[in-house]
Amino acid sequence: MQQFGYSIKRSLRSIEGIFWALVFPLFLGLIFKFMFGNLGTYEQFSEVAVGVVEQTENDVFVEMLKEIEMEEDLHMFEVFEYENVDEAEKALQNETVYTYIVVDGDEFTLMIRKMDIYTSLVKSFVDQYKQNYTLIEEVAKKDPKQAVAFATNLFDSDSIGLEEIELKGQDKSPYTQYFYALLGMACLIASMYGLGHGMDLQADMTTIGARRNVAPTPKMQQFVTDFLASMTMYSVLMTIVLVAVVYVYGQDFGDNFGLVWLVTIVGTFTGLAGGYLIATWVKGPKGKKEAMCIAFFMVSSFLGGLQMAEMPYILEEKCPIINRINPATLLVNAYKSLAVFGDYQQYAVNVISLLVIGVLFMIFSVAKLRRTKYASI
Amino acid sequence: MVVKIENLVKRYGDLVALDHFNLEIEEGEVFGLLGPNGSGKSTTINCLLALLEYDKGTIEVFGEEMTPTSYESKKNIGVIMQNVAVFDELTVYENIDYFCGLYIKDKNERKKLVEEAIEFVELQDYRKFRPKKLSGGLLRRLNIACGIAHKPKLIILDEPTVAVDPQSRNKILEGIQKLNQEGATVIYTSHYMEEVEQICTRIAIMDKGKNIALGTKDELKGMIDLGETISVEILELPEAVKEEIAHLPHVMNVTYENHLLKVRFSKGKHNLIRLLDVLKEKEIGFAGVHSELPTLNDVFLEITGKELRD
Repeated sequence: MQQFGYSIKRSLRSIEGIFWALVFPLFLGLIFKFMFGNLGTYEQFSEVAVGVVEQTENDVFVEMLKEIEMEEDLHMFEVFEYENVDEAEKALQNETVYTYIVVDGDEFTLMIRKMDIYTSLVKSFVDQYKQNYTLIEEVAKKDPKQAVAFATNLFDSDSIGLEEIELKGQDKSPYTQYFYALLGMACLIASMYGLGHGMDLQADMTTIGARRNVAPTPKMQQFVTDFLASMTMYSVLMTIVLVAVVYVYGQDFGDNFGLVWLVTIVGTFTGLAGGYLIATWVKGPKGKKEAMCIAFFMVSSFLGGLQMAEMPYILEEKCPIINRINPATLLVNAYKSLAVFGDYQQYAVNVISLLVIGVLFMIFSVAKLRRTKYASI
Repeated sequence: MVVKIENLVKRYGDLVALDHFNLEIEEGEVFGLLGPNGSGKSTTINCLLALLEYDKGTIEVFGEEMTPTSYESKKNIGVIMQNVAVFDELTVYENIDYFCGLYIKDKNERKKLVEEAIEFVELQDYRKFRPKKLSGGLLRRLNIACGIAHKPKLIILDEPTVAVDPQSRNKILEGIQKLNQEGATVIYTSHYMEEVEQICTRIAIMDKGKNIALGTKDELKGMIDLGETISVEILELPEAVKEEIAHLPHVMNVTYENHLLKVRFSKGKHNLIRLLDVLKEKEIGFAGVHSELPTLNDVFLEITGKELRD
């Protein structure tokens, strides 16, 4: 108990440790809050006002636009028809419409005032229409009987691999993703604690390690005491970070705070174990091990989407295995499972994966730590 | 027998750090391991503490083979490392209490021992200081307190006075003698021959991993031919007179540099009188005259042909 108490004291008084564990994530969270705090309001999507000028008739296109306007679930466009380009241009300038389309038979000209998400949407629609229309036309020329079936199939969303997923969670803001990644990184920063404690147990790494190795208290007992103290200390710090992110920065992590806390603690365990792994397996001086440790949590966080929210999606396409084994991604996915999808099964998969990785880190670390004699000191 | 090392061999690749090294240390001794840097002193200590793997040989401490799990033996050993080994985040008191806690589980007993250790190293005024606020000398004293607070029967000090000011060094040396008077056996490694001469009852001189000489300081000095070195300050010394001095009985070597005549004599009587008679006879004026008995450096020099600090 005495050793446990001093281990807690050492962690509490370590300015460097407190900075990485508490100050850094809170500060980064504050930056995120300022950067993304108001962005959610801009993303409330409303229908796009589109002007149409038919210089040469194209009933199919105009009808399709109107059909989309009428569709209850897909109320994407508000269509304004103009007699000539001048009227449409006036509407564009006074911001009645975001864009207008000049239809000249099969030719479409898109006129915009500025490029933004809404004009991009209209352009995508026009491009898609042109592409599909050409395809149907070609099929109709070759086999008119198949044209109808082909057209139906083309617009059937299932056939092109789209699947609608119901978001049962409360949070739909894409920016909360950054806070998930931030918490993921904060958990993995525990590796710095693991690194320090791991080195202080090895006679060939620090003089404190040598002094502890010549004492009659078994090394494994010292390791367990240190580990439990680090876990306790870091769990408290992470709870503070979590509470600050949820209640001070106002990020929505879903209804079940207990489960959010649980995955945070499991993440802390994995981070801590990662630090012990680096302390025991990476050869070289203290500075090299510290650099490795920083690289571990920074790279893991980057791959988990801390700097670029799209990163996990890119990896899912290019190298999905990384998303299955990267601790930061598993943490982000666990948070998302709760807050966005409300999917407890996916949550459990992520937490268990994280736990397994942490346990593996720990097994490898203990295997090295059990060494009782050293080749050189 | 407190320590018995037999035929110890330790290699680092091609380098033989300990070459069939033997050592026996009796209870109550202050045993000095003297040798230049790289002679194998620290390697011997690390093997003795079961920290280092070795290639051959046996090590016994308190009559039992020393292994990493020799917890009963370890309870009675205190170690003061060459580099300071304390936690920067803990105060002086807490550091001593922490390391003492690795040996003594009883809280009350530990409290008493920690207080005694603080008093012993005279850090009473610094008990709430963190190590970073201590000077080099005070830090060394804290390092010692952490190693001896549990009152070990065998205390191993590996160059504890490196980079320490003379005042702190004297306090450390006095402390070691006091610990020995209280019953502890001490192993003291150093490359400072003056320290070893001052406190050690028996000395082993090491070079290239071998025990090249062993005994009390008088026994060691008795192993060499040198009896005394006489230095005389002379303004000018003709070559002929220098030659005459070189032919006096027991003279081993004569040098004259920077107006200082140095004559090394083998053991024998009346060396000083004979030397001064020659100078008087040749009407050579002289100032200060000093006579030095052989040092351990002379012993090392005569055995190995090099200085201890080469």
